[in-house]
Amino acid sequence: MRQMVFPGDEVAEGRVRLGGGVYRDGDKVYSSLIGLLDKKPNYVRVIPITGKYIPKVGDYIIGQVVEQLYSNWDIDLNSPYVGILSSDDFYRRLDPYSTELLEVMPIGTLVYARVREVTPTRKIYLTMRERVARILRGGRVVEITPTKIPRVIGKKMSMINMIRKETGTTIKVGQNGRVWIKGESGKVDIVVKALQKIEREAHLPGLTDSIKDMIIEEREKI
Amino acid sequence: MEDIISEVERDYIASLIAEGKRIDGRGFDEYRPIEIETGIYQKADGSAKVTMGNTLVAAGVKLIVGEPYSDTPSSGVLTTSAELIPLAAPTFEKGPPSQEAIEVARVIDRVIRESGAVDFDALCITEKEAVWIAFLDLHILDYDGNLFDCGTLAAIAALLNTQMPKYEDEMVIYEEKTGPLPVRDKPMETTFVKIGKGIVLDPNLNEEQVLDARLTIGTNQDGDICAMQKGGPGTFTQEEILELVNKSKEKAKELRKLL
Amino acid sequence: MKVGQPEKFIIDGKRLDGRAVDELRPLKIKAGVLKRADGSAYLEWGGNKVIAACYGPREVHPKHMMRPDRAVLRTYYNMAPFSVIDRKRPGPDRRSQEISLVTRQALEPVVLTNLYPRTAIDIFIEILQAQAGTRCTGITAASVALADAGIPMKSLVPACAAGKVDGEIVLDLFDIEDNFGSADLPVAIIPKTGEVTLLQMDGNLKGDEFERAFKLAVEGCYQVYEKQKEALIEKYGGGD
Repeated sequence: MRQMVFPGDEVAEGRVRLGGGVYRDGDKVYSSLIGLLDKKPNYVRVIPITGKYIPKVGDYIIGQVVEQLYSNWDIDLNSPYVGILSSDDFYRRLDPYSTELLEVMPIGTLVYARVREVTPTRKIYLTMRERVARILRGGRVVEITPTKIPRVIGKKMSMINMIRKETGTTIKVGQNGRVWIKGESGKVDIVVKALQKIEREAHLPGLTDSIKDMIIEEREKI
Repeated sequence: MEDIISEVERDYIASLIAEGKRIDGRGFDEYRPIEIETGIYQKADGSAKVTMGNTLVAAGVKLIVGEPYSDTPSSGVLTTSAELIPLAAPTFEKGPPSQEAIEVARVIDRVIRESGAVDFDALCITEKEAVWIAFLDLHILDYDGNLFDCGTLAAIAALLNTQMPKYEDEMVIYEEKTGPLPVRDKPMETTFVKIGKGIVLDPNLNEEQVLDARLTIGTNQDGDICAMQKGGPGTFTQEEILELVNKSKEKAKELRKLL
Repeated sequence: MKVGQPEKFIIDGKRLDGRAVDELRPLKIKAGVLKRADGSAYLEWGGNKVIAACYGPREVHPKHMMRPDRAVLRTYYNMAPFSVIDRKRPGPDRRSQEISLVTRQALEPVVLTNLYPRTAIDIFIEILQAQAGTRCTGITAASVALADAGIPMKSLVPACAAGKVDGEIVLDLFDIEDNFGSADLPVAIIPKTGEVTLLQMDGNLKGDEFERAFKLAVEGCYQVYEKQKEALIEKYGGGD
């Protein structure tokens, strides 16, 4: 089990490379967050367990169109920063002069997209020019604490693939804390329950097995 | 109250201080030239105008008769306000007082009150019914830093200058005076700012804009500490605070001599 | 002399509420008590009941407050009308404006605002019941709420006051001591360096008395810090 640390706790000393959630003061390194300590001989970071989603390049997110300006859509990311999706980054070629972008994606549209660029002043550019990127139609979206998303995915996607297989649903997971589920309504409800259980019990070991047991049990009730 | 200051200016002031120098050539523990004039606004019951370098503060005292507070039925009342009016700096705005103006007024009020400078019991006319209420208004006319020390000096000078109007048949007769406002102490405030590792007295505007932390210490004429206020986004070490407390007593004496 | 002033504050070494001169009032802290806020904390400290909520980092409104290189930290201290014997008129008065300002400056040295340009971190402190020392209670609560919200910061910031009654230096004044005592000195610190982030004083202290009161308040801060950590451990687990 990784050790829980708090802001100001000393986590390392001397020459180590710093990851997120830590800061250096003189020769010592301290945690700046509540989180789990990830310490290797020459590297230290603190994995946050609470806090807002802050976009990173390469993250897959589930966003919602909230505004359209010039040749861009503004995309809400469940984050302090709004994402920008240019018509050039849409999955198919669009001529912004002859196309009404709001007819392509009206306000409220859900998208599964990737963070392409983060500028130093935190302008967030998204792209849908990715094989898996798409508009999400129908289904249901739930939000959980973004810091719990790695548990939803699991090691080598073990958790999410198990849930998909056991419920027969289609699931997209955004690093920004949003999960989109589509399938038979009873099965979708089971997935939502499973996600809530993961959020509650993210710190417990053997979670994949207990979630699987729960799904099987719930499935029999349908 | 946030003037834009360039990173270059910030680095310049900080590096000067690291070399033991200040932007206006003063020593670290040196006040700017101070001038005090009193009794200049005739409609006020007491007044003063103080310049500290380019900072200019006008203070006026007005007395009225009113009811005492229920928990102090035989004491007069003092109300201190400060206004950072738009004519004093391009960044001051009209409207209700800013947090900074409120802080200046409250910290000056604190040292006057806590030092017992004004004998409030002597301001009682009839217990529970009528007491003198003194309004002390500070007008910042030109803002070049350190409103705490300049404002306190103006406040005390104005209070010392105040003459009590006559009170007869439940009427205040402002044209006739009966004697000075009972002032028993001359408290002073001294303000230090920390910039990088250096700490300087009486910051001018440029220094205030780049400060890491600020400490104002109010002392009475016996050298007791009566008010303190730390400001700014940075910190002081405990040793620095104890050292500044000692230094402030000496500096307050210098200011008191000017009255 | 004010109405209601007791003749003595310390009788046989005990204060009017039964404490020793260097003893804190009972202090209970609970982290994460509100659902909607990004982080929150509830404190009961003697007769003080205070809740703090943190929202952020989030978009800045109004836009002109936005800073391109860092988050803006904003603090709002508010007393509920029913928190004191004489109903407090709602809305910010001069006292609460000043406390909001010094609270922000007490927390600013630790919050790593440079990590979140163009955002706001808002802290709301609501005093539900007041029994003296509400600014220290508010700062202590706000610091836990910030940590609970996952805001990166160098350290928790505990706050505590010392003062003078009957000519003696005492820790953590309660309302009778605060109203009728002769000095109050609230302090907040960064525990690992001992740096001071809040320092105010009103009353009358000789030089040596100031030094003793200041050191006592700092010691009080370290006791408060232990309670802050306990509250986070209770919510998040860990510890020894």
